[in-house]
Amino acid sequence: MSRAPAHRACTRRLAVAATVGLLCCGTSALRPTAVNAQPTQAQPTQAQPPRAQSAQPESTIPRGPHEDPSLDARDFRGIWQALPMRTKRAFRLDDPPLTPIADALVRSYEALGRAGRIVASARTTCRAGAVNATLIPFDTVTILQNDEALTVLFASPNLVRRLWLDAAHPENLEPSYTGHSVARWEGDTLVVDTIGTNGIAEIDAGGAGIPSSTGLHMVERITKSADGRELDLDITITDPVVLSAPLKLMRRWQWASGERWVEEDCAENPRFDTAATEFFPRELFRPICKRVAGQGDATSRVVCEGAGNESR
Amino acid sequence: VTVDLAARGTERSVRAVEPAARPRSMFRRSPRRALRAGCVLLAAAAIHAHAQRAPAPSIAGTWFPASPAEAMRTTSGAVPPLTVEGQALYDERVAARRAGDVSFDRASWCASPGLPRIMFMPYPLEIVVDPRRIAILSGWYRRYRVIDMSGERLEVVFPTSMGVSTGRWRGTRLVVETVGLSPETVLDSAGLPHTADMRLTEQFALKDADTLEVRFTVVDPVYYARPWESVMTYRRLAGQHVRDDVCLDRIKSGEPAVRLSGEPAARFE
Repeated sequence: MSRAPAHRACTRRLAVAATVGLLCCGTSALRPTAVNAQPTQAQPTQAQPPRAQSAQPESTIPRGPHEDPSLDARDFRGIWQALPMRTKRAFRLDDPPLTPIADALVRSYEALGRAGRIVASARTTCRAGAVNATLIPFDTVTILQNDEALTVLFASPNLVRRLWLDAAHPENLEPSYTGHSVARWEGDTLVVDTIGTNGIAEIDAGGAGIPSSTGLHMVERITKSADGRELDLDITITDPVVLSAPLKLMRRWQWASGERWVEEDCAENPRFDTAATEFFPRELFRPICKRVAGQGDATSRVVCEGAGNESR
Repeated sequence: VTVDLAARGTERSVRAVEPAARPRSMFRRSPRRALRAGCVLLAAAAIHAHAQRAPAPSIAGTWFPASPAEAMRTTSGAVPPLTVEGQALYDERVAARRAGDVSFDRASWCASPGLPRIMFMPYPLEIVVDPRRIAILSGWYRRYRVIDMSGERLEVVFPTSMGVSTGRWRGTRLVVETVGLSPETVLDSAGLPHTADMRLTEQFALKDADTLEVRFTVVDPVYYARPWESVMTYRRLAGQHVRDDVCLDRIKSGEPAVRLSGEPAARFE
């Protein structure tokens, strides 16, 4: 796997950073503890995650108050933690059914990685999308809920999804990284339908991730366990340009009492030591900022030419 | 484009979680007495039903600062009471900005503007209320805050741009205390400094159904000689929602990382 691009100054729990380190190249603001890193090796298949372990090692990770889950099958409110994705390569999906054109693209990126190049992606340049955030969240997922919508707050990548209940997709939908999601209840299963993604963000989270097109369509069927402590996500993704067959995945989010939302601050962090080896599949991913090394006691600065901050 | 114009139903359940929004009925507490007063019961039931149809206005919803400001001022319009040390740092930043160097401002490279600055920027804010937590979603680059409403004290392990916020209801007013704010951020676009020990108190109160007032109290003895207060009012953007915004894409297309002024209409679909 290639090293990841050098574009992120991120704060997040180092427990996750231990596995995310290859993706996150920030140098200054990683969260300071690494005590319960999530395993990435020797894991079961991605089709069905195992039940969560209960052991909680000591840590200095910020803790939140105890919170019991609701036993209401239609109440998803609270703080959740995704169980790690069980795949052969970290942050990558196993054997996705790619169309020839997508397969050629992914292989070309992987070849660049083997040659020592760092392949930038939307996610590693702070442009995560709803699909890869949902499939591979690195940190907590906080859900608020009312009659109108579920508001899903991903801590890492920093992203908000709104799941509009009993609503319809707008006719003139402006493509975006998050797309547009509508949801309805089928019994006690929440069925979420997402379209309108902009074709920039990848489906998974590797530097040479699976691309997407604006024709992507994701359907999530989310069901809460009887004890209220797990959300099972049955996900089907179709994409006429990228996928030759529907991509079917299962994910499980575990109730995370005692966890607490902590922000990720993702921004360009151009580093001179990786600039020469980076590869940008899209010009959009190329940073326009420069890091100016501090002299003496001065800290380094990031200067964005053309950022045009109106403050003068 | 930061706000979705599509209106999507009511916010009945949101309002239901706020103390002031709950319709009160004396008959629930004293059913026997209510039975003895039949006509009063009927009248009160009618009032009760009306209250259910028209719950009290809520701070939930989407808001826009009525007067986005580059520089924070106290409620009397004065420059905050900087200490000598604070003034020196502020002057340095003001001079840098005048010279075109805004690199002290993390938001100029799309990192989080922090608190309270994000509350003053000319971008919409959407407040989502649950009993256990409140989220404030900004229309600026996916930033959001989560306010813990458990009533418990949360430890600060390390400072972050949004800090650690805990809230409580005082009648219809929401009072939010925030600590653990990273000194890498500035209080406003002009560059007012703060330390990691700053304590920020925000009091959210509706002035009317469509006007929200937030009073900010800053306590930071290193840079400010005494606690000081600032205020911002917001107008409701009915039926609108904060949409996804990617700062890095905006600056790629030549837009500023942070606008200093502007009407919300300029950023709506």
